[in-house]
Amino acid sequence: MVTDITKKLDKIFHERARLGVMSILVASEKDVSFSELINDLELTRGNLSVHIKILEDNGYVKSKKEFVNRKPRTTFRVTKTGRKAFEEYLKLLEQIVKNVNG
Amino acid sequence: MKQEEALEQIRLIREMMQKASHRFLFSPWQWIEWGVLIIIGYLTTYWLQNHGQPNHIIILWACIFIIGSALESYIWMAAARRRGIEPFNAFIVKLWAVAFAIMTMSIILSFIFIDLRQALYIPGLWLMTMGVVMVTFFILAERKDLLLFGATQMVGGILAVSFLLKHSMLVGAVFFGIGALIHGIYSLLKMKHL
Repeated sequence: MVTDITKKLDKIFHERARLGVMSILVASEKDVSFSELINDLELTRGNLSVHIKILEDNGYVKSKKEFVNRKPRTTFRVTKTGRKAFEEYLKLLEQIVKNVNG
Repeated sequence: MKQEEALEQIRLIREMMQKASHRFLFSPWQWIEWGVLIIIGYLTTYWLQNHGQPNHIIILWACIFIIGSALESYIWMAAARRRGIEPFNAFIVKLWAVAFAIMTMSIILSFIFIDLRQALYIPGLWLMTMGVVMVTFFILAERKDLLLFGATQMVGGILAVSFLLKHSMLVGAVFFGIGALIHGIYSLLKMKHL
């Protein structure tokens, strides 16, 4: 049973950093900046960029680039697909915990 | 995936979601609002010292406390509504309960100082109180910016009750009033630039 659920789990979220990015974006209704994600996740710029790219390529995260006071600012938000996939992932995690306990 | 792994993933999700909610736990507008109110309070207190009754000063600060708390609650609830989170979740309630417990002690001590005709100690007492509250918030909510702000308040408090007792009101106005204003404006600018 647990093996079946495990197969369904979205491998994208297995990575700790990506799971962290998704958790923050799902919890934040507004766009979250690159710097805020760095602060919260304690990752390097390069490392975070790699994980964001994977999430973007899968359509889970959308980025917005703009200039604020002539300075570039990149913000991110979770897409509908991303939110749904994340909720699904969370449900499966809960099922794993319940099944083993049960 | 094993149960331990799933539990670890859930723990990480909770931790990150809580971190995300801490970011807007303290709106810069809350600091600006308190800064303005405190400066108005100190200026009015100076004026009341020559033109009013001593109990007018107590009423003034009670009004500032009530108006400030009401405005702060409104700002916080509006921010929580915009973000779609529960404004009074268990963590927030715990945070404010700790702050209220510390402040209750200072309210009682303030009345004792008034009774002893040692009101000049009150600004220093409140600076130290707010310093302790801010450092507590820093520890519980992992807000690094509050550590510096809290430490500054504590230093101000120590100065106000020791070397600058005669000017304790001015120290209070500068450290908490102007301090909160600067902290609020800085946070606002930082938010816009991030």
